[in-house]
Amino acid sequence: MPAHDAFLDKLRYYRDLSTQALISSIPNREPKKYLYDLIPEYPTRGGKGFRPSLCISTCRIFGGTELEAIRSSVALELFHNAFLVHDDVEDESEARRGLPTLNAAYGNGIAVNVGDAMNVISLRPLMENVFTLGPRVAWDVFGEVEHMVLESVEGQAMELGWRRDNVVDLTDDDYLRMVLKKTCWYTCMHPIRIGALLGSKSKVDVSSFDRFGFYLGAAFQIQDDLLNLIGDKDKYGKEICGDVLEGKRTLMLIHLLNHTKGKTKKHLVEYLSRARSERSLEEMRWILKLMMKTGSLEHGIKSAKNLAGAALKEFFTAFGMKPDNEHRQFLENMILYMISRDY
Amino acid sequence: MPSSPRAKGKPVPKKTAAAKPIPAAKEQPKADASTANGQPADQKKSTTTAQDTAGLIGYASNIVSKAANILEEEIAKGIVAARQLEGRFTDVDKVRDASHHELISRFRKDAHDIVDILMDVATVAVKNAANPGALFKLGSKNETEAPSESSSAKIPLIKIPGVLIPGQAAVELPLTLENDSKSEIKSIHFENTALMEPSGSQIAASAMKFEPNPLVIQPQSSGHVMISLSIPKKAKPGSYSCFVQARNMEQLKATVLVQVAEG
Repeated sequence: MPAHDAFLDKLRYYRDLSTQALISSIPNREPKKYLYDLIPEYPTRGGKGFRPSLCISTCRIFGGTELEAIRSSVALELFHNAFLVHDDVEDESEARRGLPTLNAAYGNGIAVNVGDAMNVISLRPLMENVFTLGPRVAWDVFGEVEHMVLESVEGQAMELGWRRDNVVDLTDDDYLRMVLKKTCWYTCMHPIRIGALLGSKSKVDVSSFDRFGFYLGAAFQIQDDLLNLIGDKDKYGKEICGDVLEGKRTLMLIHLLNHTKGKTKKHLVEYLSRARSERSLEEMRWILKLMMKTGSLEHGIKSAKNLAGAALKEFFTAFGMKPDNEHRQFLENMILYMISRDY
Repeated sequence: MPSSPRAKGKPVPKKTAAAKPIPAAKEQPKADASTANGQPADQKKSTTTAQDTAGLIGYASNIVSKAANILEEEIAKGIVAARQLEGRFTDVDKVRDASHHELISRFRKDAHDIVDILMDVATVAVKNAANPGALFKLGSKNETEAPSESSSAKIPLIKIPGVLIPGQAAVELPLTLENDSKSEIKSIHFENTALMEPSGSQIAASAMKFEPNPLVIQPQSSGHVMISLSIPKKAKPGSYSCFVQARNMEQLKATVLVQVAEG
């Protein structure tokens, strides 16, 4: 079997393993129609399973088993999907992975409540870690998750605040700080750190993976934002240019704001000051063209590539001493996959 | 000891070398994504090649330096926050190495109400387990063999949290059981005695229910059973106890304690 196919098979296997465990963790009781039956909606829409895969494969690299990592992976996936549900409400998004968002289909109230339930349900697998991993490792993992959630909501607050107050004087540094907090900790850094804690039974210094996880997560997010602008909707599953309609402060938009002047800048700032419903598709296309003209897209592409290159370098620094087995190979392949994907 | 998420990272080295770009996701203006690295798009999807690796390692850019600095700043902020937080504790290592009961108590003290309620359940299981890893584990050995002296002396005690009021809605207590067996499916049928109070008052065994019953657990996996207890309106106050066991499973038994208030 070609190496790439084997990698994708493994990725799907980890995703399905954690999705199955996630579904079995949902309480089998009422109210189902407006709560519990809606929890599997996003997790079963064909996500890629990056977080459980990073967690399980890192755990395996450090000598742990899938069974030891599965509960923490389920918690990561539940937190992730709760973030997505709440994110869609906050962003007023209409499509997620090719289907209507929960808020579009059921209204904001039900969607927010489903997200809340996911957050609460994610506590149980973390509590159950006590029985299989012992109190020390379980506590360490809990500490990781607490930090992960706090960083994520802080990052989200930064971004929402920028949009609320129409902040337009942002820099690449501001973007990187926001993306570190909003995305990187919970998409890459903590899944890897938790996997290492689980596999090593809390014996490894997990801060040694931070730079690798940050670079990887930032490259991943910039790639995601690029796909939102110029991706294939059928593959990507979200509204193309939805971020422009939402006024999301991406690296490309920040670059554009810093490279326009006069009337154009004024129009751009005025567009961003309006509510989403008052932003036209015509103006959205105009902004996309501006991004092409000013090199904002190129800046995003180049930045994603640079960060991915740095991530690969850090990978060898952090994992170079570990045996070159299938688990390490999987994690290495994951880097290129995460930033070269087109969906 | 593993560092906390707030632990400081390494110093940031300056990166200066240049390298080839990695494959891009999609055709973009001003970038030939379909032939990046001189390869067709479908070939670019392949896993890391030596060429890719050589090209990627050492790739330098302004944005990477910025990212490294920001990470250092954020981690440094985290260290300060962690020190402030840990200053509230008398001895963090002691807490981390403490007995299960101390640990869970620590947990409960700082957690939100909802976590507090959920943790009560964990406390029950942990506190009362002579060996928490084995308490609700179902091994592949013959369950019908006679219990050893030590195992019979370690029947766990499950204390229902709080004080129950007669006539109120049933209290529920979830328990997790693991089937260690590599091949045997476990079907666990729970049963219990009536609840007895030292002065002679009784609550019928039917007040306690198990859902599902029987609980079927596949090999190498876990299952959850929900124990629910309804205190009848006419029950007298006091400290009740009953015996719970799984049919034909010697190692799966427990004593349940519950406090009943005046109705």
